[in-house]
Amino acid sequence: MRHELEMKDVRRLLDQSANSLNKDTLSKLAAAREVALSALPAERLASAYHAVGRAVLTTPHPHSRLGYWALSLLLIVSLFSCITYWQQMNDQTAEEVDIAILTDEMPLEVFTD
Amino acid sequence: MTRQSLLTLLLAGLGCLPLARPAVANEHPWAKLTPIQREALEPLSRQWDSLPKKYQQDMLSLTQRYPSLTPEQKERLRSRLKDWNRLSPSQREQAREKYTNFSKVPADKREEVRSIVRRQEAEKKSSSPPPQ
Repeated sequence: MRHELEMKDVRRLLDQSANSLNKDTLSKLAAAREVALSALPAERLASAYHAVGRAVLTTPHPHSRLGYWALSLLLIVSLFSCITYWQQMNDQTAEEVDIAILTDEMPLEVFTD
Repeated sequence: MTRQSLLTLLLAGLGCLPLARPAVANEHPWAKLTPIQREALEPLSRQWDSLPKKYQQDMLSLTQRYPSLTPEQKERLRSRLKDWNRLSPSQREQAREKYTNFSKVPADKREEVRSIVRRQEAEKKSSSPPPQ
């Protein structure tokens, strides 16, 4: 049952993306997709989904607390690094714009009025 | 120690954070700035020590590019710092947005606007009475 739903989801997503293409490309892609999906054995598709699901939803050592905490810590550190990087990029951009505004031949009032 | 008392201690500690701020607020006193930083930020020298820490840091970042500016750009920077300082953070953000949008305008249109502004500035200068 779950397998059927996932197949539907994939088809729906493919249809959504295909809607933004022109008619010729759309019909060619739709035909190619049908051929590809019918050629692929359903069991192989299902086992691929299960493998991805396992990798995403389980820790490397499901019974190890240490593994759980290590993964959590890694996620927190990654998130923190991303936020810090994003903040630095923002600051750098603001700094570049600031110096440009303050040294441009256009008067400051043009941008502040 | 119970969980409740731990929570109370944590909240009390968090409550003290704003009190601890003034002690570290002035990490960049005017007296400790380099000669180049002082030259660039000279218009702000009087109020520098009372400026918010974040703003001080932003201004100090700007001074890193100061040595590479032309004399004309250096002069413009110094003459605009006081006005820039008077703006609220939201006004500064608005100015950044306007400048970024202006940068995206095609070069020929941008030059057209610049020439209009140049003309207006020249007219303003010629119509204003000479300083006594």
